[in-house]
Amino acid sequence: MFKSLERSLSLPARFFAIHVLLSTIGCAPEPMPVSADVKANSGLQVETSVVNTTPVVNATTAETPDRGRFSGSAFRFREIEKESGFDFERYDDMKGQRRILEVNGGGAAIFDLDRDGWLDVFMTNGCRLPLSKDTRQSPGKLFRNHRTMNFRDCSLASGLEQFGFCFGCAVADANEDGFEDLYITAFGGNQFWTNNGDGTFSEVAATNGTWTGKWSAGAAFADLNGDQCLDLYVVNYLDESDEHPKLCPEPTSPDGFVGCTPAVFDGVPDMLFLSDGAGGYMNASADAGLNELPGKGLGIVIADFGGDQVPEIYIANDGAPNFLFTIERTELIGGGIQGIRLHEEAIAANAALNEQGFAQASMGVAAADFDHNGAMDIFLTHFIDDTNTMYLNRTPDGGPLVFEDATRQTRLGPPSFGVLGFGVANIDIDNNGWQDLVIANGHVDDRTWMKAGQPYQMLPQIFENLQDSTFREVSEMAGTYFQKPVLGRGLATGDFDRDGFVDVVISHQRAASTILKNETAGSRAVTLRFVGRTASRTTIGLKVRVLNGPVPRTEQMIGGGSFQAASSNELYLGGIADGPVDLEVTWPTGHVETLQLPTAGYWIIAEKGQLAAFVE
Amino acid sequence: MSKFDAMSKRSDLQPRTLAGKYRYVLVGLVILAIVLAFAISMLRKDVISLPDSVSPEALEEARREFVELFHRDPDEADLMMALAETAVRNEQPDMAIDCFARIPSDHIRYGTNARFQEAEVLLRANRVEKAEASFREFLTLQENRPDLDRKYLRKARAWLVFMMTIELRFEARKLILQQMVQDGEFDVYDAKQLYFPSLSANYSIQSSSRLGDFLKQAPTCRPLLIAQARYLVRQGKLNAANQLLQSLQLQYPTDSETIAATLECLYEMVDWKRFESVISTAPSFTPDEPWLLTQMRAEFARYSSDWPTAEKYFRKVLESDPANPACHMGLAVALYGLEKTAERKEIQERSLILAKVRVYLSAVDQNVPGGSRALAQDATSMGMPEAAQTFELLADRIQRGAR
Repeated sequence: MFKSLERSLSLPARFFAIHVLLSTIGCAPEPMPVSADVKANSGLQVETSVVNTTPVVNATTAETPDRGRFSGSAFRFREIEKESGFDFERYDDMKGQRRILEVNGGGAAIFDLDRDGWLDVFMTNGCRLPLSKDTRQSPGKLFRNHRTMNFRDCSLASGLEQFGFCFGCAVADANEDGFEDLYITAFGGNQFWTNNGDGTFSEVAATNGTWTGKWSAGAAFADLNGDQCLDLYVVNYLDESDEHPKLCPEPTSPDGFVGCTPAVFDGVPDMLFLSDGAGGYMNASADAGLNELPGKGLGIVIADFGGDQVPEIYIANDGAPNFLFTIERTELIGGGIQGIRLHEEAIAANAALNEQGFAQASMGVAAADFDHNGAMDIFLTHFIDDTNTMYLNRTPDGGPLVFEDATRQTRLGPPSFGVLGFGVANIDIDNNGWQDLVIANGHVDDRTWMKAGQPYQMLPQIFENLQDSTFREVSEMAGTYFQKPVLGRGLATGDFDRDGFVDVVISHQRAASTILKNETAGSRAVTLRFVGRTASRTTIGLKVRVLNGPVPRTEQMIGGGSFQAASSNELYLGGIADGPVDLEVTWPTGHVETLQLPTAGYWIIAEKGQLAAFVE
Repeated sequence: MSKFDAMSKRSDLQPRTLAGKYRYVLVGLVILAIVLAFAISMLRKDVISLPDSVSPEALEEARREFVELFHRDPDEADLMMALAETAVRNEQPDMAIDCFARIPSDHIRYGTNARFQEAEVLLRANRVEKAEASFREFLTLQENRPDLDRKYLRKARAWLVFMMTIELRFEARKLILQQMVQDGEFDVYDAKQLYFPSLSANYSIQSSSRLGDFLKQAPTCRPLLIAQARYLVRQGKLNAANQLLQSLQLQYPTDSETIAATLECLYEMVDWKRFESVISTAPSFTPDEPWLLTQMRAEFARYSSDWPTAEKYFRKVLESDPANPACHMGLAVALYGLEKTAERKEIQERSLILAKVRVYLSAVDQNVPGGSRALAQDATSMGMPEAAQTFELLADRIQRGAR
């Protein structure tokens, strides 16, 4: 079947074929099992060491020729032109009072809204303050990628009309219908946009139980209670009012104000919504113990830091010790949902404070195995006159979580001292198998008028992983975007043009947001999109171990990451040798499969080895 | 009578005539000496060796004014004091300093006052080494001056604290602050610096810039250069700090403060090879060595996974600086290595308290008792009873003052 398809189908039809095949996997949603029982499907292979490697389609994207052998040359990014159709500038109602609501800016979500194989992008937007129910100005924007970074604003057509003062995003196929949904955090009303599968979206937060009127910054989907349904963790920030905002007068300031620091606000507890497996959610915050922990959360990452197949939740708090929650399953709660209790263990794990004992102003967070020791590390961005922080994971096998502040050793401290970091992502920019770092910088308050002033707009940064637990800043060589001071905020990553190199979208304040095309020389990454069957369709928590090639290692699909952003739910494996790629996949259910992919490219891999589609 | 007879007659008379002559000569000489002495004493009153910065006209003016005011002729000290105070008013620091320097500390009328004013002028001129010496001299002198207004004592101590803060000399500053608290003459800011020196340490551009002003006046002053290096380290300018410290090390190879600052820089640079080499040149541990040196000993032990030694030295620093957050973190790591779980938990809990204190510490001020009470509470939780008592006292004082 696949070979015949290969010979006869035109390119658009090939993509349609993929769509149909994927729909076959999940168009009839199955009730989510509490346990990890396998549901066999007739006519298809059960797990095997080698899947059917015959490609379904053999279309070559002529626009993305192979770049040649890896040379270890400098990283290169290029801003795509406005003509590409990506045109967005965020509105934050900045009127001179320097209200804290104005300063965090927006976020971005990268996902394939219509399953055509091309990643689309959504940008959150603000509005006039105080909020008004009738506010219909400055909506967020949804851009559909009509192949290789050819974008069209489809906000209106999709019905995804994001109004209000919105910040961050989380993406997952929450209702397991095969289409990725979008959760948007906001001040005074989060939004859950369920993807109807026909190019349109419906907002259901009020009805599916995930609405909250707090100031929410970050959010992440993950299966937290082991029932193979994706739950939702929402990070709340400060207790602030849009009608009577806290103001910090300063007579010497040009507009009479300075920005208030988070220290003068109370924090707000985060919220946990457990999925009922039928599209609804239950607010389990109290049961989880979150109501007793008012943090000042901005960033979130959910990953298995302990290597025991149970995720942990790391929260980046602004000016307060960060949180690291371990999960304990408790009794069933309302609706037969598996309850959990979260235990805050950051201080015991040495991940709450930096080496100096300071609770830093943490904004963005990235998680990856930077040093290839098999454990997920954490990198955080912080305020100016302070360093970003790299926590390397030193958890012993079977032992309690423990991290080491390795900022000095990794050489990431000094270059970050004079900037204020927000969005951050680990990307294998040159596909050599080692995770590099991209950071969006920009101050929260214009203090250029002060005697010992600080810069307002700031240069973004790129750090190359030198493969010896150290990093080197290579921003100067990375393209003109990195020579331009901006107010960088949310940052998300994904391969928009399917050339095997990960691109970046950055949300700015006071300027148009941008997409950076990765034009670094090197070999293409292997792009993997996994589809759960007994595991949740969006396989957050999945691990892939690269068994062969020059850089054996483990990669993990995480929930959350960066700042107010959702990167694509794909894995990009660089450092892969030519020829077959041997992988060991540990699904979120704990089920392990080994696979061999014949070549590099874009693979869609379904659980139990039932299907592997190849799109070149 | 022949000439010879005349001479004989004169010689017969001579012994009598010569003695008389000598007597007259002697008397004359004595009278001359008296006259000369008188004349010299009169002249000395008019001929004072002037400092270069003082003109004869200024001197005359000062003399005239003094006479008008006090209806007596001034002595040198009178004139120097008058000139100095005039120079202070006219913002002529060099002249003021020169004149004050002419007044001996033990001068019954002016000695103590001169030292204080001199110190202030020196500080304004950023000549901190001499300013500190003068302030210290003043502090010694005022002990014998119960009549002196206490405000000068408070001011002198406050200025010393200021200088030591800029120069990052926390150990010396602690002694001054302790005296202030002991005498009950301190405020909230003093208490914060005494009990939370690491948390209240300010490595800002402003402080660094003021240090730079000090250095312009004393470019080879070792303590100032060490401080400059430490600011550079804190600002992430490690190469510049390293260069400066290497040059200091060559000049002062056995100086503990130089070694400590060098180790701090190498620690930040993660240059353990050089760190090991430098620490091997450090003198053996003494309880009164710089806190930073002890801390670096601890960090090296931690790096070497020598947990007992790391624990020992981190605890040593915490004896002097119980609110040192970095040493809490380091001690927690050492305790982890030693599997002392309960103690580690306690230290980590204190770390969290310190992290919380750091956030609100700068906002604790003279106006609102709540901040001081919060600090008192946190100090109690930290096991710092003296600090707790002090901040409670301050809170009560602020509250009374508010009424």
